[in-house]
Amino acid sequence: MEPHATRIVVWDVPPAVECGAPFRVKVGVKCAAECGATARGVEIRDAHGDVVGTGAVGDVPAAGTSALYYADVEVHGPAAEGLHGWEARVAELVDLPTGRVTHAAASVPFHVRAVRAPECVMKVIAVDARSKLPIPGARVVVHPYRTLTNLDGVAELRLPKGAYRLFVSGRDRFPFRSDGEIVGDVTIQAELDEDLGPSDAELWS
Amino acid sequence: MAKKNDSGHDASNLLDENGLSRRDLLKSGAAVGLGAAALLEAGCTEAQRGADGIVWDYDVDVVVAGGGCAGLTAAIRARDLGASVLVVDQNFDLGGRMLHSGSFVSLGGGDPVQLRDMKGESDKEGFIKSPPVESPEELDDSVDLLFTDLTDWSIVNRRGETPYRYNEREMMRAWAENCAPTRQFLLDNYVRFGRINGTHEGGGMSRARGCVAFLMLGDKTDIKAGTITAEDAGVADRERTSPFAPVQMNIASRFVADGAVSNGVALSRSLEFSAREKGVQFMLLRKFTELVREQPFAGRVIGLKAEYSPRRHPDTGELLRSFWQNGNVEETRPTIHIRARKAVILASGGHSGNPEVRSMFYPAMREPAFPTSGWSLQGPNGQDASALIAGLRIGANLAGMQQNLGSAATFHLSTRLGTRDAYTDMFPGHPTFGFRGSAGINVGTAGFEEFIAVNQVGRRFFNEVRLPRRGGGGQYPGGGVAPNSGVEHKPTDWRNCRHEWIRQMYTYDHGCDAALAVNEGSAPPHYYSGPLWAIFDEDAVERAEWPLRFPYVADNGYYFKADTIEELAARIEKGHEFQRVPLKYLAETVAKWNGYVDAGKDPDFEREADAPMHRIARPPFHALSIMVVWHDSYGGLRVNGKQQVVDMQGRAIPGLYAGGEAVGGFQKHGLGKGHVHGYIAGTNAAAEPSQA
Repeated sequence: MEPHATRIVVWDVPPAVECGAPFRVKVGVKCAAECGATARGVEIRDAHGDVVGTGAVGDVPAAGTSALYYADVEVHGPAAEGLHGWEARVAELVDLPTGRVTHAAASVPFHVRAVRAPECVMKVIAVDARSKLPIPGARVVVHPYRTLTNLDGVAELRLPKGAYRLFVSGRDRFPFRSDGEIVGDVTIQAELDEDLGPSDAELWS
Repeated sequence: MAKKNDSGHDASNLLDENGLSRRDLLKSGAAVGLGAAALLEAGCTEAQRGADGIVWDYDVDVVVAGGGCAGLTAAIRARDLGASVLVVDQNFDLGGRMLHSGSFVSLGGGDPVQLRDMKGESDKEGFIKSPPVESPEELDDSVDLLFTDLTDWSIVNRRGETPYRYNEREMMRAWAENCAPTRQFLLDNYVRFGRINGTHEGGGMSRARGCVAFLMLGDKTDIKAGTITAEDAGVADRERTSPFAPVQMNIASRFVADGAVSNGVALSRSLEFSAREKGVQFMLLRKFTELVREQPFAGRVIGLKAEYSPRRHPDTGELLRSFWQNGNVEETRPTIHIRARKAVILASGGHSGNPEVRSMFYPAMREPAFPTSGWSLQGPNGQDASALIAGLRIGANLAGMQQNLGSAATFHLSTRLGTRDAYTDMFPGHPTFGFRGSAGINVGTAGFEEFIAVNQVGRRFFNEVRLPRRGGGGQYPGGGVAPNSGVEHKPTDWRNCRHEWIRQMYTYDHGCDAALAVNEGSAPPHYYSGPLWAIFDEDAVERAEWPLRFPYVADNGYYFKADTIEELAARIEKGHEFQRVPLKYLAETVAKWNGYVDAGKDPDFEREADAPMHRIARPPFHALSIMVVWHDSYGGLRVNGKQQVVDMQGRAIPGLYAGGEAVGGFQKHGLGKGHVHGYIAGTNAAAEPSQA
């Protein structure tokens, strides 16, 4: 009998981690035949193939899933700045009494972005373009840094110096974009246009 | 005096106080005709046969095919002028697409609502409390200015299209001359209009000419009093619509007053109420299929053939019935013939629901995965090109066949995801909700930031953020398509279309064309593009707060959820009716996308320039259908200024009129076209000499 195929999913990888700093990722494992097999070990390897973290899949499926069991693994950011290709792996599952491989091994690549320590603070104030009222929960992105605005429509990103492209976007709003060079602390007011959808004249009528 | 005809069906309800003939059996052609008919081979159409041998089941002055905005208007107008009128409609209820519309009726030429707003007056019942939206100079209109606007060759819209250049000029003049009388006619038939607010696409660039119909919320629904209950209006529950109103009505406080609601329900139900009150009769669930002409390509059109087209409730199996019943003619025979003593008026809509016909304009739209807008409301026979097909069979000419390609509204991607009928708004409570099964989620244009869009093999095909953009339509005030637009706009000025200006204002990205492209899953002979999918993860659901639950989504093949991307692909392939091939690249596409997000660059479609990019990583994973919709039709039968259908030799076909989307040569979006067509056709049809 052929071993069941294994699906593997990696999520909650921070978009940016400081070089050498610890962080956690989730590695989910699912039998493609949905047989519900658990108790599987996972490992994370860096770009050199070295194991940088291990964990064991638990017996509670990830929220919202039917049978994706997962491990919460602690790892440390790469020492060198940049985008690094890592890999999550799950070993094959062997039935000990018979020695038969019941589930195949699997792996999935993912990226880890290592960044240097921040030097500046970008304060973003998100407001509605017409009313100028603050927009809470707006997404503030200066790749690879991300955060959300607070109830006052304010967010802060800690960034290294250099060129940036700021996007601020939110539910039912068109993205605000600003390109520039950050050399010190800065405050940017992002005025977002509402996506009102088609007007009466543009609807069916 | 009522008689039963030879098949035993009671025709009495058709033939009483409305001036109709009681002749329920009329044989045309007598013995010679019958003999000739007997020689014809089986399967020959009525049009090929001519009128000989027809057994007429009903006999009336004017037969109207279609009970939408053109048909209802024509029927009332002809009835007002003394004709007996029977409307046949393929659906179970009246109103066609008008019932589901926004009710924005753009007319002008100095129409009564323009004049009312210029004076700053309220409506005659005093419902309107809001001040005019447009200034007097923006409303100061004339028939000549409207005619000039409708034939303004110099306008090129933001998609590089020319909405006015190819309009039929005789029809435009007649339309312009009849806008004001039609507005008054609508007002006289219980339609209440709010303040003029802009103009519809194709309605001219120089003045403000459009407004919505409204009713006032009240304790009971009473068309005469102008009131509607919150339940009937659909404003009592965000997740329900009523049998009265397939789409929840809009708050119209800005254009009317607090407590006012608007949309096509206020327009359509008011006209329907008036029509029934005046004695127009209706034969519903009756699909018009053929015209009967005295000779195949000569003589008068003297009637039509219609077939029973029942619609049954998808859950209960019960026959669907119209909201109001008075004036309905019950008829269940499979096929009947209706004689028109004066005229037949074709108002059965366009061709957006017929993939074979619409493909003559855009071959990629032969793809049956994308139904017409309003498919579930109108049923399988809606917008089926019936008028065009029947007209061609008796020698009619066509007009404006290229004009389908000249409007941003014709075909585009809907921002409503997760439902087969992505262009209607029925929720549970309306009998047609079950046909769509889910209301879908309108994510808006901005919502396309949250996902990647893939084709039937699971590959991305366009910059998602730009995918649903439609470009401007070219409407007052300027629509961004004419320099010095607004009331300063100068018609027929060559500078309106100088190429430097057009380059500057062009905004269209052609996402719809990419969505319909041949791809690795396309197979001969049609090379269908296949369905489209929005793929996203649980983080996107949290970001966007999309309600992934009934009635917005359902287990109906237009929404899927899975623990892994591979599983998601398998579920789509198994569960979607038009997914003909596996999404074999989906997992690879998602992995590549996540790599682009991490790198901050999307080398395939440059999304990093337009919006933030988000990983698709956190389970569970979701897929919502993305639909290409075809809104309305601009190519169709050629008519003259009287709405008479014209043949291939340029001659009017006696006894045959047409209006609305059945007609081509007028690239005007929306209801105004159909109402005026109906008004003109009804006027002239009623004036025809009776052939009795």
